[in-house]
Amino acid sequence: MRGCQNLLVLAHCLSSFHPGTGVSVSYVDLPIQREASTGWPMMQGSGFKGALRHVALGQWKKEEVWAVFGPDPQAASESAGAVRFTDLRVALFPVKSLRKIFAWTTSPGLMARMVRELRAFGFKWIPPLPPEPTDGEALLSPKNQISEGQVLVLEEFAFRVQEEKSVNEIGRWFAKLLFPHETYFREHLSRNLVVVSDTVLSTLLELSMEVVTRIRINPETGTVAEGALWNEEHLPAETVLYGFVLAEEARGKQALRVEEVVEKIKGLAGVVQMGGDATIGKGLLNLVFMEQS
Amino acid sequence: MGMRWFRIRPVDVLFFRRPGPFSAGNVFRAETVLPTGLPFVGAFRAEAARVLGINPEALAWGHEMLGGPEDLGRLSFAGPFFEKDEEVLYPRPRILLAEGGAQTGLPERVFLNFPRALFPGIRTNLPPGFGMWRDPERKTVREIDREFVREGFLRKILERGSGEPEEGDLLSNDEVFSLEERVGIRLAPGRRTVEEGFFYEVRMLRLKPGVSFVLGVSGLPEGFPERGVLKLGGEGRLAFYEEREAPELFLSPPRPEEFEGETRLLVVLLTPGVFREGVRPAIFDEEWRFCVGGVRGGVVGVVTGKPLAVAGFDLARRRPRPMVRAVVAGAVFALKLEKPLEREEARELLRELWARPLEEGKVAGYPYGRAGFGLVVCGKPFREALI
Repeated sequence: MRGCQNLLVLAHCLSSFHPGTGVSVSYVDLPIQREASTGWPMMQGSGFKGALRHVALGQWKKEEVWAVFGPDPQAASESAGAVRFTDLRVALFPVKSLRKIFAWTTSPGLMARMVRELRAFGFKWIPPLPPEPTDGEALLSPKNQISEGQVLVLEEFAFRVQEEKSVNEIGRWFAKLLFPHETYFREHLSRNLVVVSDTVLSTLLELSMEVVTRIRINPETGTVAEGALWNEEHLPAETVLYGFVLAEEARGKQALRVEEVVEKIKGLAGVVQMGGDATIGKGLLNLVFMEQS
Repeated sequence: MGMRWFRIRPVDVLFFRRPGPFSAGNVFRAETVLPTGLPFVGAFRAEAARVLGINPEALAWGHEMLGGPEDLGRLSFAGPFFEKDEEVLYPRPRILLAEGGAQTGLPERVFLNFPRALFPGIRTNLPPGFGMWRDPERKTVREIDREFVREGFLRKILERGSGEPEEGDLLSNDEVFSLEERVGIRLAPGRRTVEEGFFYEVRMLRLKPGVSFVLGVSGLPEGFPERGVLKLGGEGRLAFYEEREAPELFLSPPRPEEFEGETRLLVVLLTPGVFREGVRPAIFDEEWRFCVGGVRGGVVGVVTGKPLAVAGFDLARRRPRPMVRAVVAGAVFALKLEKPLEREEARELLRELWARPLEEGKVAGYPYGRAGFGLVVCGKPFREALI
């Protein structure tokens, strides 16, 4: 798209992350956001944009924030923002493993969507697509360290291991972006990424979420305040989300070329805090941006 | 240059604001509606402007190729339509009835109904010559609750007046899209708590897996890419576009032989129609008579739903567009011809009434016909529905 540049953003959860959707009447009082058609977790683009704008407010001049993210509501008609954000979707999901504590999992459907979007946004460096395992199979790199012979145990499920070289390439693709300086996690992701079927991953994304029960103590009695019991759903730490940022030139009072907008956005990389329960340590994300080239 | 067709797939969700003012106390969320052609027109014009190296804001002053606020230059559009698994879906004609099906033990069969003469002694406020839409005399007839028809099946029933649908020929809304409620807040910059009054709900459109939009565009500049990214609709949402083959319905009309000898025809709107005279397109005079391609006759029935409000925002002049009321897609005009069609007459009639806008020219100062509104096809009613 001439006059625009696209960025891939990977958000690695360093702590549990709660991109909430408000109160629910279901069995989880405070669920996380999910796509209506797949039920897969996500963070809405509007929430990501707002949180990133907040981070930018702490680092840039107000005119630059308005130019890139758009003005405050009272001046909304002055100019549009220079960046657009897609939703953040799950790329890798951590699951308890019998060996090596946990393994990052993904699925062919999830990867196919990500690869399709990478291509459509003009990215050249793209991971390969894995073949499709059956529901009872798990695809692993031949160099993996997490299987027990021909069996892989994730949560309470046992899978037949099928060795597949492309899984190692996919793991290395993510590892290079996420852990350029962290040898342990780079190796763990490269060697021990697991590809399960779309059905299995959907089950894991439904049932293997972190659901935390919380209370509020009555300070006078030292016991639970009446009615103050609720549960919250969180994306577990080590989840990796992906999305895209489309950057254009910034018009209005503070004009910026598209390359300058891209550099400003890339400057926000690093550890930020997003989502709910910020004051109790939730929502610490490491943001990584990658340009099309 | 001929028409180019594009598949448009949202990156995640889309938002097309419901037309009309925000009414405090009545409207609690920003609602999305199924899009008409207007957001797509804007998106493709902006993309074409980028290809030409023009600042899209310059379109406010008009451009020979891309037009201005009240014209489309050399551009014209067809659609948008939905596509599922690479086959185009069209709105169900509103006079499509069904018989048989699972509960009867008989195969389901659908047919295109046609008005009948009024009962003797009955008076109505319908225009002179209009008949009554009645069920044919069958006990198992029912309306169809699925809103979309697959292209191949639509063509079949237009040519024959009836057909036996297979799985996937008729689809309901929830097989094509869903509406996703989203809640948003605004954090106060200093306090990091929710800013008072800044809690809102938005309803977004999410297409089901395998579903995309399809749009035809002609008059695009040289070098317009085969694929890329569009900014489409509100809320800064994005969609991918890629060129595709023209839908079969638009490649060629039916053979004139299929309509030779017919005295009854149905004209079906594939996209909402914006007409100067409200529900009456300009090809029908005040008495609902017509002469198209030398063929004369009159309208004997119309089936349409509630009018669709069509509005939008004129980005060039930064003001809302006048709201107009459109006849919904799937509406049907039933025609009775003065004499049976000859083959050449059928060929001329199909040239005028197949995959073309029913009314060109401007309505409320905008060329809706060229923006994809009012596209029609024609078909034959089911023989046994006739007296």
